[in-house]
Amino acid sequence: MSAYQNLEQMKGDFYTQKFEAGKQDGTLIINMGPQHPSTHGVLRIVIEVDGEYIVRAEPVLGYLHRMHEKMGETQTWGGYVPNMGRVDYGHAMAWNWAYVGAVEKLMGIEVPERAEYLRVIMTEFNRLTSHLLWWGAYILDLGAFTPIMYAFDDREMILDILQRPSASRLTYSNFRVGGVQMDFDDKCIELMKAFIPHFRERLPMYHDLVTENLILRRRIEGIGIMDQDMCRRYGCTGPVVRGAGIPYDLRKDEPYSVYDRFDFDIPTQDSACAAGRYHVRVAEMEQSMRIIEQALEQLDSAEGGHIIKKAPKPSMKPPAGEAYFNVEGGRGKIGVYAVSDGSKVPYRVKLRAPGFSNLSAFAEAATGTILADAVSILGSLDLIIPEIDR
Amino acid sequence: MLQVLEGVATQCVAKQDKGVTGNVWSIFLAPNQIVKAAQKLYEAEYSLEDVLALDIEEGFLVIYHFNRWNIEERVTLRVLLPKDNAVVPSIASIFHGAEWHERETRDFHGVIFEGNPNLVPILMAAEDVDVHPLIKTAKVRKSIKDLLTLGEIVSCSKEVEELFAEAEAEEASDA
Amino acid sequence: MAAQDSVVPKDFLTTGNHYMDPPLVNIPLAQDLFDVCRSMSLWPMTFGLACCAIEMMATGMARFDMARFGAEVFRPSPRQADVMIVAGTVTKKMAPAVVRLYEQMPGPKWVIAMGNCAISGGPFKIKDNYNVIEGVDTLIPVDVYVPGCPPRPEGLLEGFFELQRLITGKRWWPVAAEVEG
Repeated sequence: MSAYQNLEQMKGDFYTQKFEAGKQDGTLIINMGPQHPSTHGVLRIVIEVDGEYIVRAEPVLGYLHRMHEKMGETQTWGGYVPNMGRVDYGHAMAWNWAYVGAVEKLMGIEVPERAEYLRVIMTEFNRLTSHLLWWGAYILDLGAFTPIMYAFDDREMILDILQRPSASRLTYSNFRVGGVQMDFDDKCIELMKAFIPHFRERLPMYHDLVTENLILRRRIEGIGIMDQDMCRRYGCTGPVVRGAGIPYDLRKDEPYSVYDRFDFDIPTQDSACAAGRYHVRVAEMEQSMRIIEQALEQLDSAEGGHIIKKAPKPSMKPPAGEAYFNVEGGRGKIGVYAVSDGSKVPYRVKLRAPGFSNLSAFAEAATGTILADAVSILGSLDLIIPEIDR
Repeated sequence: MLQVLEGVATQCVAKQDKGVTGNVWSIFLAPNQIVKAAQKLYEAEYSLEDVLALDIEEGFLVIYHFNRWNIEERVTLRVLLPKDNAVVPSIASIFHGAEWHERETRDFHGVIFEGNPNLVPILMAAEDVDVHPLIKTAKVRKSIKDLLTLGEIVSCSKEVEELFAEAEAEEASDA
Repeated sequence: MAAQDSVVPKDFLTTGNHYMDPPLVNIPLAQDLFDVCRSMSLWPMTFGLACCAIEMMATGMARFDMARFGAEVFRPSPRQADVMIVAGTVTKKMAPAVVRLYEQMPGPKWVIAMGNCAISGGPFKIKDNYNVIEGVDTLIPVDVYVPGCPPRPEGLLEGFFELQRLITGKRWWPVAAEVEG
C-alpha cells in the first residue's frame, strides 16, 4: 500500500499539528530536520515562513534522548563515567570532569596536584578539538568546503596526542574519582610541545582564509541578536553570553582546580550577534594554547601522582548528601547535580547542559530573520544535540 | 542575600558550605510563593541554571538553581509537593528559559507546572505523554532526611523542621 | 560465513533478499562489470545521528579519505544515495524517520550499521530501556555491521571493503599488515 493512499500520514505528527493550530494566513509551515545536511545532529525545527521570513519557529527535541538521567539511577557511581563521554562528545572531558568533581565533593576527596594539571591540559586540548569541529562545521553549513579540511587536519593531530593518555579518539572516559586514568608518557609531552608552535602558525592562516572574508562577514554580522537581557532570561552561558559583552567564564569567576595559577584572558565581543560569538570562540582557541603552555611548564613541579592512593573502586558508596559541580565547557557552563543516599547507585543525577538553555533562546532570536539566517544562528550557538536531549 | 527575598514568605532559609554541596543558600518555599521569589531574583540579576524534581517519600521536591554572572553564589529554591497533587505555578513568564526546564521535569516526574505556555513532552515521544521514567519504586525511594541536610539554619518553620526532625532525634538517642 | 573469495549469487542486488527484475538482455559479464562500478562509487547518505557521525566525518576528511575508495559524495537526500550509514543511536522518536528514509532510497541500496548503538543499542541497552531502539536491524535490513564505540575511521573503511566484497564477490584492497611486538 503506497504512502499516498494513507492520508493520515500526510497530516503530520503531533508537533506539526500543534504548530499548525496557531498558523496565520498566507504562511507556509516547513520542517528543518531531523535529518539535514548540517552537522548538529538530529534536531528538528518546525518553522512558519512568510515568503522568506520566519514568523515562528519551534525546536522539537527528543530525537536523541538516550536516557542518561535514568542510567544515572541504574549504573554504579564509577560505571557512569563512560556515559559522560557520550553526553557531549565535543567536549567529553569537561563532562567527565563535572561528574567526577561532583562525586569528589560528595566524598570529600582532594585530587593530587599532578592530576589537576593533567586534567587541565587534557580538557584544554579537548576544548581545541571542540572549537575546531565547530569552526569547520559552521563554515561548512555556510557553504565553504575547504576550512573543514584544515580544521580536521589539526584536529587529527590533537587526537593523536589525546589518544595516548586516554585510549579513545572521541568519547573520552578517562577521568576517575580521585584523578585520571593514565599519566602522560614522554612521547605524549613531546607531541604536545611540538603541536603548540604548529597551531600558532595555523591560526593566522585561518584568519586570513576565513575571518576577513566578505561573504562570511555578510552572513554572520548582525544575525541573531541575543543581548544581555535575553541571555539572562534563557540562562545562556558560554560563548553566547561572552559574545554579548559579559565576561562570564567559570575558569576566572569561580576558579576550580588549578585555573587560578594561569594567566589568560577572557575574550568578549559587544555585538551580541553571530559574528560576536564566532570571534569569541576563535579567540578562545588562542587562550587555550596559553593555558596549555603554562600548564606544561608547571607540570614537572607538581606533586603527587595521577590519581590518589587508594582510589575508590567503581562500586564506591559516597555518603548521603547532594553536590553541584560546574565546569566551563566549550559550549558553556556544564553542571552536574548528584544526590546520594549512601548506596553504590546514585539516587539522582541531573545533568545541566549548556546547549539546552542556549537552544531555548533560538525561537526568539530567529523570529523575523530569513530562513538562511536560521542556519547561521544555529551554527553560531554551537549545538551538540546529545547533550540537549541527554 | 536575605534582602533579595524580602517579602517572600519562606519556610526555611539555610546557609550551606559551597565547598561541600555547591549551594550557598538553600531555601524552602510554599508553591504559591515561587513566582514572587523568581520575580525578585530576576530583578536582582540572577539567572536560572536549571529546574529538576526529586522523587522522595514525602512527595516531589522541585528544586530550582539560580546563580549570578561574575559572582558565584548559588541559591537553591526547594518546593515540596504532595504526590497526589503535584502542581506548582510556572515561572516561565519571568525566566523564559524555564519553559523547557519545566517541560523536562514534567516528562520525567509528572509534575504539572500551571501557566507553562507549552506543557507537552519535550524529550519523551509524544505518545509517551503519561510515561514518567524517573519515578522510583517504593523499594528504592528514600525520605528527605536520608538525602539532604539543612545546613546552618537562619530561619525555619515548624513543618520543615519536622521533616528533618526524626534524624536529629535518632542522633540524640544514639549519642 | 562464506569464504574470502566466494562469489555472491546474482539473483538479488539489494539487502534483505529483495529481488530486482532482471534486465531484458541479461549478460552476466555486463552485470559483473556494473557491480564493480557500483561498489567503487557508493554514495553514502549523511545519516549521522550521534557520536559516530563525527568519526564518519573524520573518515571523509583528509587523513583517512573515503574518497580514495569511491565513497566521496555524501548526499543529504536519500533519493540520490546508495548506502545508508546509520551512525549513532536510533530512538523511538527517530525510528519512523529511519524507515521512511530507507524506503525513499532507490534500489540497489545497502545499509551499514556503524557503531554499537546501531548494532544493538550499545551502551544504552539497559534493563529499564524506554526509548532506545536496540539495533537498527529491527527496523531495516542491514548488510554490514561495524562495531566500536565509536569505531575508528579505519574500522569504517574496513566496513566499506566488506560491503564491496558483498557486492562484487572479492576484496579489492590489501589487508593491513600485522604489527610486530
